Amino acid sequence: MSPNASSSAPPRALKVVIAGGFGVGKTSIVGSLSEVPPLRTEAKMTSASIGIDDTSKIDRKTTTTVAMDFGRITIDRSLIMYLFGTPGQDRFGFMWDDLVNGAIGAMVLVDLRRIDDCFDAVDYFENRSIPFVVAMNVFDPAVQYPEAVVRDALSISDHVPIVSIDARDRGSAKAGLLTLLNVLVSRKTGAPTGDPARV
Amino acid sequence: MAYEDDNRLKPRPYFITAGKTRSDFPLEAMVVARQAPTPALRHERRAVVDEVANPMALVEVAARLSLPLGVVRVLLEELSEEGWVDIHTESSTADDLDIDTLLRVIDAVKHL
Ligand SMILES: Nc1nc2c(ncn2[C@@H]2O[C@H](COP(=O)(O)OP(=O)(O)OP(=O)(O)O)[C@@H](O)[C@H]2O)c(=O)[nH]1
Ligand SMILES: [Mg+2]
Repeated sequence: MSPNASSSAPPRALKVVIAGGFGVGKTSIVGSLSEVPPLRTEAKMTSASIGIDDTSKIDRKTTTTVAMDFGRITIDRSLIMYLFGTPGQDRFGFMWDDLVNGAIGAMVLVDLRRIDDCFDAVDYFENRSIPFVVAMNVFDPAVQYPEAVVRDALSISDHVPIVSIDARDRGSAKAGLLTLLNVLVSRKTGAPTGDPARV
Repeated sequence: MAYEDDNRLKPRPYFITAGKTRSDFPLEAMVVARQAPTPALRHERRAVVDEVANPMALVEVAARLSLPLGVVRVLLEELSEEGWVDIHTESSTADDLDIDTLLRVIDAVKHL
């Protein structure tokens, strides 16, 4: 057995969530960043209510099995970051609380050809005050808009960065994750209680 | 499946500790072996303890062993009661992170 198993404190987990519509590149970005090939597990999730568009089933508990992809980045001996790709969000909210509780932040991936696929994710993180960044994946170079237009379409505030990435490229995925981490830093340094100098 | 034959696997979902239902371990609960497995540990229970010789999250144990999350939660609850593994459920939200930790994380990500 490895010598570190019982002697030292186990690492803490840091959780980052990758959200967005179907096929938008969630698994790709997990794979680009993870030190191990993306892992997958299935979870049974129960939701008390389902989509508001389906009022006939509103009081019925629904159980769905969803697959989630995740990857890992070992920060050091005391910290391991887990990156969770959310399952498709056709029935948004099924398992998100389980997945998102305790997350340090999120990346919302957007395909500009179907921008409304990410609205639910943006709402979700905004409503819970979870720090997030918006990452646009350029699937079709012919479909590109200035950042201001995208910001307007998403109606997100100026403190939510919008970056352009290729989820399949590690350097690009890293830049997206670093943008999120920098949001966390400015939250700390910007808030009076979070001043690193602690005067 | 084999785990259904294991009579230790009676679910005990309401075992409460510190005001918390333990079978609700979060996905990212960190698990680490406390001692080397002995031949008394069989099947999935043995596999779990072997897997966590190096610490990993509950969800990773489930994925690597291709076991359902619910089964792994119950196995871990038992293994922890019996002293085979430690389970650490505290994760860090954005508000818990201090600036030094954040800078360490940023540095590590930059060097990926
Ligand atoms: N051009 C381009 N293609 C991408 C990008 N990211 C992913 N893809 C491609 O898009 C397809 C879907 O990517 P996935 O990573 O599987 O997307 P996903 O969000 O995990 O998909 P689901 O889990 O099915 O919702 C794959 O063929 C990727 O190679 C990107 O940034 N740019
Ligand atoms: Mg996927």
